[in-house]
Amino acid sequence: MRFPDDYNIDREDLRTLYFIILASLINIIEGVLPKVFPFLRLGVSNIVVIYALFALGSRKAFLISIFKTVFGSFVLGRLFTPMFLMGLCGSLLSVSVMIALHRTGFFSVYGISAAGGTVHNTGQLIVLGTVYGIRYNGKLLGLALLLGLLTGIVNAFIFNKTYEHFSRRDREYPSDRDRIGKDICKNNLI
Amino acid sequence: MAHRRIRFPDIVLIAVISFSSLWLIARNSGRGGYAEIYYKGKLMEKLDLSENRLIAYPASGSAIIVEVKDGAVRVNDSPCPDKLCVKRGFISGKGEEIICVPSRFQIVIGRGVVDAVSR
Repeated sequence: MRFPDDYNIDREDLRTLYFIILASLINIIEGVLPKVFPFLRLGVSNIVVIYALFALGSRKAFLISIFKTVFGSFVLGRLFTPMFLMGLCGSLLSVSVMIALHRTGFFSVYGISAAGGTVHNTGQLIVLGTVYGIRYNGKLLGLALLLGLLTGIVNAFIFNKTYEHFSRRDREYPSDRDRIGKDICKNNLI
Repeated sequence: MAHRRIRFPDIVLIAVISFSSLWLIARNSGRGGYAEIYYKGKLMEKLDLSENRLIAYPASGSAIIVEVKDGAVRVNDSPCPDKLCVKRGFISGKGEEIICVPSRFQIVIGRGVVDAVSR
């Protein structure tokens, strides 16, 4: 039986890897699910990025944000397509803004998530306008901002519910903490 | 762990984003309030699109007749040879325009309502 300490793997690195896998998986599932409108998604994988921002710090949240987009696009078969470039630009902008807002210390999950969703949509429109030269009017920009805001608030609500669930589980079964990380190492998956 | 309950700065941020987005939507939706008439690149008049009428403008020795009907505007008759401006028909959406190159005549639908001064 080998634990991360035997391999000299940092516990934080292992958690980062686990978060990257989780976020990519959520991204892929959300991309495969049928959608009402082609460009309207909730972006649930952003919750993982927010959790990583709080638990692991801004550098690792940035890494997770990049890799979830790249892996998700790779599996869905749209690597280096317009949609991939739009998603990547949106993710980078949104995680940068979320890190900046988190650093100020004024904002809670709701503000950070709402700003992240808004900036994600704005970044997509910036790519659409500058790289692909598609003209759009202010109505589309306003709609994108409003939808990003709404999805961000919904994501913050889901984040709070998830966090409450896991913290309650940690209180009731303290030994379950990092259980998943140990399982991975026990089965020699890493 | 950082703050999880909603705080005052969040409310301010969310309010600012929602107001600006609603303002952007409101500013850019609906039909145009007025049409700008250009002749030889100069603004001649701002037409209120709420009342129906026929207006004649002197252009290239003859007259261009502009028709306003139910918030839309078109060129009814023009002295130009190919009559492309007449064939364009009615326009009503914001930013739409009719250009008559031979007569050097242009109609552009503008934003919002006509202000009191130009009326």
